[in-house]
Amino acid sequence: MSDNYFIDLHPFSFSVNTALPQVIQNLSTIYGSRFRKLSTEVADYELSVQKSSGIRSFIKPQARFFCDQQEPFKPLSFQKAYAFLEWGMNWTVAGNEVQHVIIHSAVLAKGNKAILFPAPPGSGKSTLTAYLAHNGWRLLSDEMALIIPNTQTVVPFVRPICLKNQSIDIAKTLFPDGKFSDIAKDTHKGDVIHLSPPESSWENQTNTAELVGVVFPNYRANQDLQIYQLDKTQAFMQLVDNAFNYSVLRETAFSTLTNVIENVQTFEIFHNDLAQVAAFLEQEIIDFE
Amino acid sequence: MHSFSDQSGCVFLDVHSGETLSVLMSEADILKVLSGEIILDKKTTQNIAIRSLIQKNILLPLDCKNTDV
Repeated sequence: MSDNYFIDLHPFSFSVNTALPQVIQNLSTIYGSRFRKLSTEVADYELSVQKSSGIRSFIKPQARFFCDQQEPFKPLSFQKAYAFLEWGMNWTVAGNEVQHVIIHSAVLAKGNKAILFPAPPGSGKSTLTAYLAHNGWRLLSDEMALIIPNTQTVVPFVRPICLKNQSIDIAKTLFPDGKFSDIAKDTHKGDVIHLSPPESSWENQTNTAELVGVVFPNYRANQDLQIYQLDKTQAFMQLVDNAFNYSVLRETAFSTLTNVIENVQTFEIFHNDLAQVAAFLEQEIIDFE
Repeated sequence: MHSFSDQSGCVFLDVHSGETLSVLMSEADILKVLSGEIILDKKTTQNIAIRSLIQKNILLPLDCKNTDV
């Protein structure tokens, strides 16, 4: 029997219709008090995760994802239902939100100063995000930076950190008290797990921050910290490549991102030591006057 | 068009297609190319980029400018 649940996030809320115990349990673990039964709230987006019906409910059962009653993706194996919902939430916001310029990027802040970490899969972005979020930084987002147009202001969209493959064991060692979801095995990204950010990040989910840096991280197992200052044209073009709604917002996105790049420091880093990266970020960007 | 203050180059938005292009030249040098004051080597990436901007009607060489407008 399906029930309706409410996920109270900032700046978006979601209703989720599901009967799947694994989805309900993982949502409760990851979102805590922000996840509850729907009563009178009106959500921004109406989502649903269901088990396939008919013969598929017995043989190799599958999970289906719906957004506002549309089914944008083919079903995935039943065991991946929770990860499917998390990806669906990302897709829903990336595909519908036009009030902010959205960059595919992690965002973390110290106080009011925020740094963007745009990076492709495999760059170690989420491991770095998890490390910083558990070491004095505030997570604004692991997946998407919401920038208010023509400002340097980032609006938090606090969500779990998505860790893959070898990062899973590293995170479980580094954060033994972390709140982890079940592992979704053999996805198109490999094995995937979601980690809830520390409570301090959730508590500050309505507090915006001002961008002071853009850092493109690259993890290299055999490489000590190397830092390259990017020129502004390079950094701008890389941000454009990572923007979800650039082609929709066009001139607004162009002026917003040129403004951001003009007013922040821009680096590309190669590293194999998270503590060294944290020290560099604090000394050279956050404390930079 | 936006010319970055560190003189690393300029970026252009084609408002019709949404395509974004960059040229690693300053605004002043781009103007010199358009006016014919600087002749670029045909094989340089700057030349390719500026030709691309001209072909897309984002930039016009100055001798093509319609002075009646």
